[in-house]
Amino acid sequence: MRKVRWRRVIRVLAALALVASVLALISDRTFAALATAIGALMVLISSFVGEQASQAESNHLGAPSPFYPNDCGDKGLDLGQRRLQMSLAFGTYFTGLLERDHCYVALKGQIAWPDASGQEILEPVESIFWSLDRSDGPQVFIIAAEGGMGKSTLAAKIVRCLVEKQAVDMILGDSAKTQQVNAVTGEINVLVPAYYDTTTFIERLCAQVSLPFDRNRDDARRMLTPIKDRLAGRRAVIVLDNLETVTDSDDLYRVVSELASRDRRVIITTRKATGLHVLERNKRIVHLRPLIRPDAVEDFLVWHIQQYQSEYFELRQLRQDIHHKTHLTRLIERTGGIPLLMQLVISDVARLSWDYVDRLPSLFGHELLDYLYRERWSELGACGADGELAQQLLRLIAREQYQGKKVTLERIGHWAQEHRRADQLSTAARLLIERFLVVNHDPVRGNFTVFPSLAEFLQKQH
Amino acid sequence: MPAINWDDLQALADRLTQPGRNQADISDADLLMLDQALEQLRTAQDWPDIIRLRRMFNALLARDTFTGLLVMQRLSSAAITAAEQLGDKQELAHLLGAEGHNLHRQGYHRKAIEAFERSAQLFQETGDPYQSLKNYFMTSLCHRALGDRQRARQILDDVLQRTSPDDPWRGEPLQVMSWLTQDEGRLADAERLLREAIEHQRRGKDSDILVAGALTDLAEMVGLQGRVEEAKDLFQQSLSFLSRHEGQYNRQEARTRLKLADLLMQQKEYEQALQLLNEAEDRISVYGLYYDLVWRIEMTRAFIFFRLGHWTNALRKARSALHIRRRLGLSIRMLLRQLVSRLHAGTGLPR
Repeated sequence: MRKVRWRRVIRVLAALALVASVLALISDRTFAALATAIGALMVLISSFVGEQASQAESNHLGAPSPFYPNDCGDKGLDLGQRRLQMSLAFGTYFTGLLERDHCYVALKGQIAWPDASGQEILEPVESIFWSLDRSDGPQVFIIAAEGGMGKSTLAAKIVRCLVEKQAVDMILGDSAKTQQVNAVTGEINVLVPAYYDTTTFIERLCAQVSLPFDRNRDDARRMLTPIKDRLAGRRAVIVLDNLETVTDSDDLYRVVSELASRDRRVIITTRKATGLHVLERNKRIVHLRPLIRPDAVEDFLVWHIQQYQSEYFELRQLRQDIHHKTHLTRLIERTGGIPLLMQLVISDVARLSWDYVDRLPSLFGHELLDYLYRERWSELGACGADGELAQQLLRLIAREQYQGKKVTLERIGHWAQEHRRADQLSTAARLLIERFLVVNHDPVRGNFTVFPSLAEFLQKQH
Repeated sequence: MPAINWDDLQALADRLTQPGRNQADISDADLLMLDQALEQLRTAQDWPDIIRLRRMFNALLARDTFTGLLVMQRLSSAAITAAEQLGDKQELAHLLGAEGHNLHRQGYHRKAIEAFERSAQLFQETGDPYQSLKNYFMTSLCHRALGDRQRARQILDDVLQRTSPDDPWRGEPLQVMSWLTQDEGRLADAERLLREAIEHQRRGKDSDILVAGALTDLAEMVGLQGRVEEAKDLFQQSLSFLSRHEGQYNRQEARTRLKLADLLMQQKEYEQALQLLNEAEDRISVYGLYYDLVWRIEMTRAFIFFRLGHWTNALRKARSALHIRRRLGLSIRMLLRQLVSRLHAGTGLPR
C-alpha cells in the first residue's frame, strides 16, 4: 500500500517538475530547463511502466499457489447452474470429465512434455502445473494424440486443477461437434470435425462473455479485441476440445492463440498437430505417447481393475496376471500401447483368456479400435434377445449422452419398462459392461456414458 | 416426425420456474425438446398450439434469468406471429408487452418502445385501459434510458394522474420518478419518492421482487447521501428477498450487486467491489443476454481500475462499455454528458 502511495507522490512531483520546466523552456530555452523536462518525463513514464508490471504480476494465473501437487484436479467440479452452459458448449462427455472424481491416472512415459528438462523430480503432470504457475510460462497448450489416448481427460484434469487452486475464475471455450440434431425430425447428423471454423468458435465465445455477435454481419476476427476487453481483469481458461488437426497456418489456431495471455490460458486438444515445430515461447505441445513401458501399463491396469471391478467382477481374476511381464509385453505389442485399446482388450481377456491377445489381427490404432467395436457389435447380435436389447440400450446411452442427458439407472429402468423388457435389462447391461462398451461413473444413481469413438461407430451401424 | 409430448414440455416449464439449483439438472436435450416442438408447430403453421406452448413458459419469460436463451427468443417471436395470424388482439397485446420487457432488459430500448406502444394501443382497443396504461408507463423507462428525460417525466406525470392513490401498482411509476429526481441531483426528494413507492409495492400481491428492486435503489440513494451502514443493510435486505427465488431473477441479483459494488468503490473497498462485479457478471452471462447491465458493469470496473491506477485495464473496460453501447445503438455522447453531470452532482454513475 505504502509503495503505491510513494509512486503517486513521485508521479505528482514529476508532473509538476515537467510543467515547470516546460514553462521555463518556453521563456528561457536553456539546457537546464530542457534536461529537467526530459528527466521529469522519464520519471513520469517509468512510474507508469513499473505499475503496469506490478499490476500484471498481481493478476497472473498462478498467484494463489507456488506448487500444484500431482493429485490437484482429482476431485470433480460442481458446475451447479453453469452445467447446462458447459454441456451446450463442450458436450456431455467433456462436461462429465469435469464433474467426475478420479477420472485421470498419471502414467509413466505417457506425457511428452518439452519443459521437462531440469524438472526431473516432478511428475509430468506436476511439471505442466508448475509451468502454468509461472507468470512467464506457456499460454497455449496443445494436447495432441490419436483417439483413445486420453487427451480430453488430461485437459479436464488441468482445468479442474486450475479451478481448484482458484487460478482461474472462468471456463470458456467450445468442442468441435461430430454430431448435430435436426430440430424438426430429431435425427442425428454426423459432422466432420474439420469443418469447425473460426466464426463458430467466436460466436460461442461472444455468447459466453455476453457480447452481441451476428454471424451474418460481424467479422469474427474483429471481435477479438472486444473479447479481450471483456476478459480484462479476470482469469480464464479457454478450452477448444476435439479439433481434428492443428497447423500453424490455421485461421482458427491463430485466432485462439491471439486470445492467450498470462491471465487467459488456452488448452487445445487435437488428433494431429502438424507444422508447429517452430513454436513461440508461449506455446507448448503436449504429445500423449503410447504406453510402452511394462511398469506403466501395470500401473494403468491396476487402476483400471480398481475402477471397474465392482461392476465387472471377473476383472479381479486378473489382479495377479497383470504383474507378469510376458502378459504386459504381449498386450503392449498388440494394442500399440493405446490406453483405450488396452481397456477393451483386457475386458476380453477377463471374459476369455490371455490367448485372445494372440488371436487379435495385426491392426493398429483406429483400425484395431474399429475391429474391436465391430466384433463386439456382432457378438451382441449373436446373443439373441438379450444382445438385441443391449444394442438398443447402447444406442440409447449414446443418443442421450450427445443430447446432454445424464443417463441414470432410473432412466434406463423406465426405458426398459416402456419396451416391456425390464426383466432382461440386467443381463443386457452386463453384456455391455463386460465388453467395456459402457462406463458407469455413479454406482448409486447411475451415470452411464460411452466413449466418443464408440458413439461415432454406432452412427455408422444400421 | 416425433409426436409432441406436452406433458414433458409442461414438466420442463415447471422445473425451469422452480427456485433453487434445479437448473443444474436441465440438459441440452430438454432445450432440444422445446426447440423441436416449436419447429414442428411452425412448419405445420399450427398457430393455436404455438400460443399454447408460449403460455406454458409465461412465468419463465416474465422473469430475469432464461430470457436470453435463443430458443426462448424464438418462442416469443413465433407466438407473436401466431397471435397475428389468429387475429387474437388480446393475446398479441400481452405478447408484445412481454417482448417489450425483454427488449428493454437487453438494452434495445427503441425496439422496446415500439413493442410497448403497440401493446398499449391493442389493450386500448380490446377494452383493457389498465393494461394499456402499464405498457404506456414502460415506455418512460425506455425514454429515460435513451436520455430523453423530459419525455419520460411527461409520461410519468400522465400515468400518475390516471392512477388511483391507493393502487399498489402506483409504486412502479413512483420508483421511476425517483430515478429521474435522482438524475437531477435532488437525492432527498428521490429518497422520499422511493420510500413512498416501497410502501405501495409492499401492499401488492407477490411483490417480493418489486420490493427487492426498490430496496436496491433506496440503498444506492442512501449510500450517495453518506449513510453507508444503512445502505449496506438495505442491500442485504434486497439480496435476502432475492435469495428466496434463487436462480429465477439473476438479472435483478446482478443489478443489486452492481449497485453495492458502486457503494464499495466510493468507500475505496476496491477488491470487494471487483469481486461483486464478477459475481454479477457470472449471474447474467449464464442464460441471459442482458447487455444493458453488462456495459454498466464494465463502466464501474473501468472506474475501479482507474482509481487503482491500473490504466490498461481501465481503458479496456471503458472501451468494452462503449463497444456494447454502440452495438445497442445507444449514444456515446449522451453517456459522456451524463457521466460528467452525474459525477459533478454526486448522484452516482449513469443508469
